[in-house]
Amino acid sequence: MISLSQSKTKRLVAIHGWSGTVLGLLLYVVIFTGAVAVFEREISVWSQGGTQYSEGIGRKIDRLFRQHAKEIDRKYYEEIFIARNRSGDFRFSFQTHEKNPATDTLEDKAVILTIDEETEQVVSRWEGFLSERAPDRGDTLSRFFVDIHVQLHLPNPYGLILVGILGLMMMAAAISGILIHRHLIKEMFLPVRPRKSMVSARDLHNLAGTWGIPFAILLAFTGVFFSFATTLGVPIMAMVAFGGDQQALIESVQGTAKVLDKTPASLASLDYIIKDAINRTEGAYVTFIGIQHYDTMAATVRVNMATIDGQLSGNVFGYEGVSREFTGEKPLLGQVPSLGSSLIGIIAPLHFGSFAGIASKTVWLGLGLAMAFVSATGMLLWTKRREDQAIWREFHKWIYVVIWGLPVAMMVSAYAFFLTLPAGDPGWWVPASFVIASLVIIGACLMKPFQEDAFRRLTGIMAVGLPLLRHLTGGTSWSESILTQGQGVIIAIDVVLLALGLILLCWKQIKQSSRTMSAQPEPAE
Amino acid sequence: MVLLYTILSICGICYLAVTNPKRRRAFDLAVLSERRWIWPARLSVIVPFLFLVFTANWSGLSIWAGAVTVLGWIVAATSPHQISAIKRVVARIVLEATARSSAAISNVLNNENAISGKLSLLASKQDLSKAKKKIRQLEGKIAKLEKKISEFEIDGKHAEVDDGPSLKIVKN
Repeated sequence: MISLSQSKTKRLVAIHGWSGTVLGLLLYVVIFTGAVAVFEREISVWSQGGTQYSEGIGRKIDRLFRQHAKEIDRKYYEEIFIARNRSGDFRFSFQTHEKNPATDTLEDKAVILTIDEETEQVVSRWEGFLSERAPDRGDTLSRFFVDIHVQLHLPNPYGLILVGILGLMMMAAAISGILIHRHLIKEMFLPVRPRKSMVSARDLHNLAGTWGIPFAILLAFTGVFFSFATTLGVPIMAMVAFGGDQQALIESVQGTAKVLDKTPASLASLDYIIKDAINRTEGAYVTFIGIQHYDTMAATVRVNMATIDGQLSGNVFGYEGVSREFTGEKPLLGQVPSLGSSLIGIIAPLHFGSFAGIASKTVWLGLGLAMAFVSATGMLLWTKRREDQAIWREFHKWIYVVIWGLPVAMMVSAYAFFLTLPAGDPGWWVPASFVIASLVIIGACLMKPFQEDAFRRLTGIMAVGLPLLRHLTGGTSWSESILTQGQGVIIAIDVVLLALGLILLCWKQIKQSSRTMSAQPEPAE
Repeated sequence: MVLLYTILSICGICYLAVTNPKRRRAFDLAVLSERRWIWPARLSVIVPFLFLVFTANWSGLSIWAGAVTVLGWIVAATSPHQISAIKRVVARIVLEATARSSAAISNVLNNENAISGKLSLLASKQDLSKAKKKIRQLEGKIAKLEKKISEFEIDGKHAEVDDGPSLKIVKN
C-alpha cells in the first residue's frame, strides 16, 4: 500500500487524468492501430495473396547470388543485403552511398533484384535512391496500419516525435496510476458493480488498469524508445558528449572505420557460412545476410539468425568474407557484447511481440486491446465526471466517435485496397480512403447525434463483407491457401473477421439472451 | 509447456476470484464456510514464474506473463452472474446438441432396426422359397412312389422297394 497525503493524491489524480485525456484520442488511435499492427506480416500475406510465406535463407544461395551479382555495377558492391520479401522471393539489395541531387544529402542508392526461388529468374529490378522507393503494392495495407501506429501518417520526424510524446503521456498515466491506486494487489479482483453507471465505469477502468500496468509501462517505454532514439536520442547525445558531431558519436559506439584493403578477392562460399551459422545455433534458420565490400580483401559477412526457442532475439554472427573465419557474435550496439546491447536487443521483440510467432503475437494483440480499453474507459470516466460542463460533455461524445469510427475507417481503407489493387494505385487510395471515411464519420456525427448501434452494425457488415471482397477481387481462396501454399493465415484472418462481424451484427440478441439467462433462477441441484 | 503453465496459473486466478470474500459480498453470494486455499492458488502463479525465470526461458516467460495478464483481467472482470449466464448458455448448447445428436442416433438406430427387419424378412422369404422347393421335390418323389405302388398293386405282386436310405417301404 502506498501512503500519500491528500494534496499529493489530488495532484497525482490530476496528472493521471490530464495525461490520459489531453491527446487521449490520438493515444487511443496509436494503441489500437498498434494492436492490429502486431499482425503486420500476416495482414500483408492475407491482403496480397499468392504468397509462399516461407522464411529463412536456404543453404544453396551462393550460386544464385553470384550468378546475379556479376551483372551489377561494381560500385554497388559496397553493401549487399540478402533476405526474403513478403512473397517468399529472394531480395538482393546492392547498395552504395551517393549524393541525392534532389535533397543534396548523402543517401543510400541501390539496385534491388527480386528473384523467384523456383525459376531463379529476376521477377523485378529497381534502381534509385532508397528514400524515393515506394513500398511494394501488396504491402500497402499493412504498412499503412503500421504507419498510423508509428507516426500517425505525419511527415518525418514530426509524427515520430508526436507519437513519442503520446508514449510519454501513457507512461505518466501508468506510473501515476500505480501511485494513486492504494490497494493495487487487492484491486486485482475488484468486483465490477453492475447498473451504477459511474461506479461501474470506474471499476472497469481500475480493474483493467491494475492488471495491465506492467505491460502498459513496458509497451509505452519501448515505444518511446523507438520514437525518440533517432529523432532526439542520437542528436542530444552527440550534442552533450561530442559537441554535436553525430559521426563521432557513431564511430565511438560502432568503432572507427579501419583502412580497407580493396584488393580484389573472391568471397568465400555463402553456403558454407550459412551452414556454420546454423550449427552454432542448434538449427535456427538464417533470416538475413549482410555483405560489406563484396569481392575485395576487406569483405565481411554478417548473418542474422531467427530467434531460437526460449530467447527473445536471434543471434548475429560475423565472418571474414574471404577467409570465412568466424569473428564472433556481433552485438547490436558497440564492439563487444554488453548489458546495454542486450537490453537494446530485446526492445524490439518486447514491443512487437514477434519473438514466438503467432502465440506471442496473439498475446500481444490481447495486451494491445486491453491497453486501448484502459485508455478509452479512462477518458470516458474523466469526461463523465465533468459532464456538467458543455466542453467535456461534447468531448465525451467524440470519444465514442473515435472508438467506433477508427475500426470503420480502417476497414474502409482495406476495402479501398482490395478495390484498387488489381488496377489502381493502393498506395494513394488506402490513406486517402481512410481520411475520406474519417471526414464522413466526423461530418455525420456533427449533423446527427451519435448512434452506437448504427456504428456497431456498420462495423459488423463491413467485417463480414471484407473476406468476400478479398475473394471476389482475386484473393487467394481457402483451398489454395491450404493445399498449395500450406498456410492457414488467410483462413484464420477471414474467419476472425466473419466471426467478429456476426457477433457485432447479433450483438443485441446476444446481450438480450445473456440478460434473460442472468435473470433466470439457478436450477435446483 | 508454456500453455500448461498458463492454464495452471489461470486456474489459480479463477479460484482466487471465485472465493474472494469481497466479490462474493458485492455480488450477493453466500460467504464460503469452508477454508480458502489461498497459498496453493498463489503458488500456481508464482511457481511457473520462478520456473520460467530459472530455466531462462525468456520468450516463454513473456508469453506466460502476457497471457496471464489478459486472461486474469478477463476472469476478474467477469461477474458471477455473467459466469452463470455463460454456464447456462453453454449448458443449453450442450443439452441441445446432446438432444439433437441422440435424436439423430436413435433415427439411425431405428433405420438400422427397419433395415434388419427387412433383411430378416428377406431372409425368411428366401427360406420359405427354399422350403417350398423342397416340399415340391418331396411331393414329386411321393407321387413317383405312389405311382410305383399302384403299379405293384395292378400286377398283384409283392415287392420290396428300396427308395434311398431314409425311405424304406415294404409291401406285402
